[in-house]
Parts: sequence; structure tokens; C-alpha cells
Amino acid sequence: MSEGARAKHFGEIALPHLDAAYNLARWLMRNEVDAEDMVQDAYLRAFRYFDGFAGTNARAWLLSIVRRVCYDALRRRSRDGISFEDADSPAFDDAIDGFVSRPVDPETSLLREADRALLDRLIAALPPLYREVIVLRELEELSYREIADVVGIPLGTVMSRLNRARALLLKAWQTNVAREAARGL
Amino acid sequence: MDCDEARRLLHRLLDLEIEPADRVRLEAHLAVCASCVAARAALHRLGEAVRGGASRYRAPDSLAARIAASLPDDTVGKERARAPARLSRARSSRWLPLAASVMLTALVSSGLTFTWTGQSDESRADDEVVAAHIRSLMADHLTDVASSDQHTVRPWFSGRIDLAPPVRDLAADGFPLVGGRLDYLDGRASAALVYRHGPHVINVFVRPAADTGAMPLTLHSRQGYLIGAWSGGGLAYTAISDVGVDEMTRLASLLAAGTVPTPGPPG
Ligand SMILES: [Zn+2]
Repeated sequence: MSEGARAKHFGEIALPHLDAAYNLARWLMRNEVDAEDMVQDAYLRAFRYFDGFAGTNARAWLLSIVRRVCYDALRRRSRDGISFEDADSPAFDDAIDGFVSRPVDPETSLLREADRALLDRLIAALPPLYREVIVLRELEELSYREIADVVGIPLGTVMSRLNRARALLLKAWQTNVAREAARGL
Repeated sequence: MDCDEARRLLHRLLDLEIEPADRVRLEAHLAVCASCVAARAALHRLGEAVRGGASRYRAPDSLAARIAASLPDDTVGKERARAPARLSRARSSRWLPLAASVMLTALVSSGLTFTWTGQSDESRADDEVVAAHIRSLMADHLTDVASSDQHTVRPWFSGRIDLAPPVRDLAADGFPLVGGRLDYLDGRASAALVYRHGPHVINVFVRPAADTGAMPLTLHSRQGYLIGAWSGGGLAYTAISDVGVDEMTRLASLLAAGTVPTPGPPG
């Protein structure tokens, strides 16, 4: 296959998933500029290895590459020393204990805000390993099996992570709704 | 069913990922437990709020254009230029005719217990193995856990993948363990064990086997790499490297010996 035909074929398979790829990168990186760079990097990598892609689920394949590129970047920038790999260990609980009770943003919570802004901020404040399963399940509507493939974890871990992520999010949501109600907003 | 189990299954219920039998048991519990009903309502509200309220960011139009513009052949040229030296060495045309003759000689001379299948029909699967191998040779992607200690590498896989690959350091036999990594083959996560033999890197991908029977080693070449495949103990192994047939056969037999009862000495 010529390079041009190869690029065309790749485009047909990969470009329909560009929004999914960007959404995951945008949530993991939490800003537009990085998200665009990560997606471009991921797509170039995917193109390089495209001949080796024999699976049927191009979306899960692409998302797994996007995720890997994002985590590589996050690891390089990580200053807090929390290993991403430890999310399922008890020690990680302490590291995220502060999340639930911490006001998300005292300045702007004085304003009456749509649920959208509040939920965006709460999800963005979750540790990335919990954030990504919420995004993949609720926003990208991936099955447990697809999430397992994208994240590279067993099905059982997908379920326990999703349960923890939702428990954290629910608590934070209720806390913030109650806080705003107490302020008469 | 107790409330702990019910709370776990609520997620599967709302995600439409619950087994029918579990659903019946869960609904029986919900019929008698008000606090789990309340938990279901809270989870349901949260799900609605997230799906209806959180942002699903759309890629800017300029991004598709940016990617499309960077795709044509000059991209590939640039990437090749940046690839590590051992990649181009392994792919050099010098290696290919040599490999063919070495393999044939090895097959004829040593009464080896493998089947030479030449160019595999399963070319797409093989291409994926080659791609994963090359990918691992790129900077920073050889291992997720770098250790020659099997007691470090083996537990690293547990909790990350639904199988327990037999991890053994074979340094005494000339194949030091470099580490392990999670990889992605055929649309599924796969354990990758990384060994070194002199200057050569050998990736051994371990996945659940289609059946429990043992399959003896088969060897073939693909894109200038040697691929060895065998299975046993419910696991399927695919090894790839630019080592020769003898080395690959030796590594395969060492790994296979660790997973199945070792047969007694011949004769
Ligand atoms: Zn209950």
C-alpha cells in the first residue's frame, strides 16, 4: 500500500474517534492546549503502528494510546510523588482523603452556577485513575470490557475503580450542593 | 445477599452489565432493603447529572486538519530517522538472507523439536507482534517494571491482568530478565516479559490460551524478526526477537520447562 493510501485508510478508521480521543485527553490533561498536543502525538504513534492493528475495536485501541501518551506526560510533570499505579492500594486512600471535604473553588462557588460547571470541577478534581473511568463510562459510554482494554486492567478492577470513583464523586457532589444550599444559593 | 454485595451490584445494574441471576438476587434484596433503594436512587441521580451535566469536549476542527496534514509520507520518514539504531540494524537487508540460511541449517542439523512454518498465514497477528516489539524498543517503552528480580516482576502483574505469567530470571542460562510490561495485542491486554541475550532484546508475550492443551514450539520469520509461538498450562506464548533460531529455541524450552512438569532425561 502506498503511503498516501495508507494514510487515507488510517484516516477512515481513526478520525471518526477524534472526539472521543480529544475528550479523554482534555479530561486527563485538564486544558485544551495539552489535550490537542497529546491527541496529535497519539494519532501519529497510532499511524506508525497502524499496520499492526488487527483488532476490531479501533476506538478502544486509539483511546489506549491516547491514555498512555497523557500518562507519560503527567508522570513527567508529577510533583506530588503519588504513583498512579497505587490507586487500588489502601495507601492511596490517604492521598485522596482531602478531596471530598475540600471546597472546589471558594471564589466561584459564591456564584450561582449550572450543574455543568459544578460537575466539571468535581470530576476534574478526582485523581486521574478515577476521573478516567467516569469519563470512559459516563461520557464515552464504553462497556466494562472496553474500559478494561483501554486502561489495561482486569474487569474486576474496572468495577472496583468505578465504584470508588462514583462514591467519591457522589460524596463531593452532595457536600457541595449542601454547602451552596446552606449559603442560601 | 448482604448490603455490601448489593451496593457493588447496583453499579452493574445501572450500567446494564449485570448477570441475569445477579439481577434477580439484587432485586429480591431491594424489595426488602430501604437503604439500598436509597443508594440506588442516589447513584441514579449522579449518573443522570454527570451524563447530562458534565462536558463532553469536542475536538476543535483545526485538530483534524493538523493531524491530517502531518500524516503523509514525510511523517514516516521523520519517525524512522528518530528510531533507535538497533531497529534499523534488525531490519537491515543484510540480515534477511542470512536468517533464512541459518534457520534451515539449524533445522537440518540439530533435530530440533520445533516446526518451521516459514511465512505465517496469520500475517496480521504477526504484524501486530512485530509492531509491539518495535514499539517496546523505542525510548522508555521497554518495561513498565524494570527489574531482574522475578519476585518483583511477578507480583507487579497481579491486579493488572487476569493471568499470572510465569516470571523467571534466566540469567544463569544467558537470558537475563529485564522486566515486564503491559502491552496491547489483538485488541486485548497482554503480559510482556522482557529478556536480553547479549545485545538482543526478546519480548515474550503471554496471553490466555484458547484451550488447555500444550502446543509445541513453532518458529517463523516476519519483517526480519524471528517469532516463536507455543502454549502450555493454559497460557499462549509468543516470543519475538532478532536472535537466531538456536537462541530462540533455547529460551522457549527454558520457559516451557518452568510451566509444565519437566520430562525425565531421554533414554
Ligand atoms: Zn441493603
